[in-house]
Amino acid sequence: MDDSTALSEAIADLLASVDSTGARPAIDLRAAVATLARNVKRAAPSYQGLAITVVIDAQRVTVSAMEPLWAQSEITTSLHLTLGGFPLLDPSTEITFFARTPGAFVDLGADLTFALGTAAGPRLDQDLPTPVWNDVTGIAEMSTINVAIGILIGNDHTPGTARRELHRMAAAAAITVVQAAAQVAQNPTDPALRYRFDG
Amino acid sequence: MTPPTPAAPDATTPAGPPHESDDLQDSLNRLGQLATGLLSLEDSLTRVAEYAVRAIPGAEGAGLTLLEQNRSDTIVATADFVSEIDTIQYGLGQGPCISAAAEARTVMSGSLGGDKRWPKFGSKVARLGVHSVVSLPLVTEEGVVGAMNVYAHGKNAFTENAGRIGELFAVPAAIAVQNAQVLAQTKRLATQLQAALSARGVVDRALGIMMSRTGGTEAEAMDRMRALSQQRHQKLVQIAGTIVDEAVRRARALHASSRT
Repeated sequence: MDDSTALSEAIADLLASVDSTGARPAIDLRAAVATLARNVKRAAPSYQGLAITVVIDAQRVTVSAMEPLWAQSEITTSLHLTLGGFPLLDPSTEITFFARTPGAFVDLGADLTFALGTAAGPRLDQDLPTPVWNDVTGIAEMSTINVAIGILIGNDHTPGTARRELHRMAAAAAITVVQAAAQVAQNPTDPALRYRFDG
Repeated sequence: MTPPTPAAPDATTPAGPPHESDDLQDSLNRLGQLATGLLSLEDSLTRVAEYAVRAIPGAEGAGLTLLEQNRSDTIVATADFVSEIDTIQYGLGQGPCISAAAEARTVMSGSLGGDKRWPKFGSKVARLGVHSVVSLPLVTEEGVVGAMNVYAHGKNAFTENAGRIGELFAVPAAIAVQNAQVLAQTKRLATQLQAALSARGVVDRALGIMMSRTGGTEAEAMDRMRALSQQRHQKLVQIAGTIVDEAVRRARALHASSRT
């Protein structure tokens, strides 16, 4: 399977889980990635790809999209932007663009410093080398945690107490929250998961 | 006293009265400081068009069109009459902006009604009382990213100098437009990804709630939810939202009553 197919499948999987009616989804991530890539390439012709990270409920999910026939060894420069200043986006939202030619992003980076209206300018060449694949990472972990939170809600937890319970379970067993969540999903009707109203 | 020697003409300074250079410089300064990241793409492009009106002598209104894969995409205007004219242009598929973008060169006319280059467009626009235009392609290293139209009602309102000033403005304007596009599309991608992940989160929680009731697996819960979605002709995320809302409401009611 080539890289572009892997990304398409990962994104299709994400979208399929939120819309089973077969209608064209209002969200078209592949088109959004393609349009952005096309325009960054106008500013930096040796553009090779991007990685965008979004934070949902404290979980980081990263979508990486690389140009066909890209090669890790050929990436020599990067431009990182923090998008937290945009309304409705989490402050930790960020994007990194990659290119082949050293200095490809110098002008775009300088221009975007003004455009973003911030004194903290974009970051050049500090995000290399980064293994970047056509993929969506972090989503499996996010799903595992959300399924576990759902199980706990079904056991009379509120979303807040559910999250706290997961963290408590993880700390008690000296495991990660994701591992604790996976354990919850193995036995969703375990009486031990029910919220204790007696404190 | 020896009179001062006049300075040699500067090739980068456009000829013309001093106030024309001031207007251009003012517009270029504002363009360089345009915080496009804080504005919508349409607002950013409208500001660029407004600065063009200030910069170009004789201008009464301006419109800006972005090209996306050789189709006209986002279109903005500083005045209603410009919107009307550009609607005619793109409806007919002929006009100075289309020519400027296609040929990647400045196109001017002082008498649109009689201009044989765009017979249908020219006659319609002349009846609206608009006779002069300067159309400028917005060009970056990668090619034409859009075009800018500057209009005036009177005939022969734009001199060659106005065209030259327009070309000087169009260079940084193209960069500003390109940057505005990059930021707008970055914002769009981030927002869409966030929306997709939030929706996925709701679906996952609903799966967990169903699993807690049936003891089944995640795959079994997803099959049941898809069946409900098809039965009720509702999107999966709507079904999931209902399941989560009801369960959370129930849990909160239990917590509230346990405190009383």
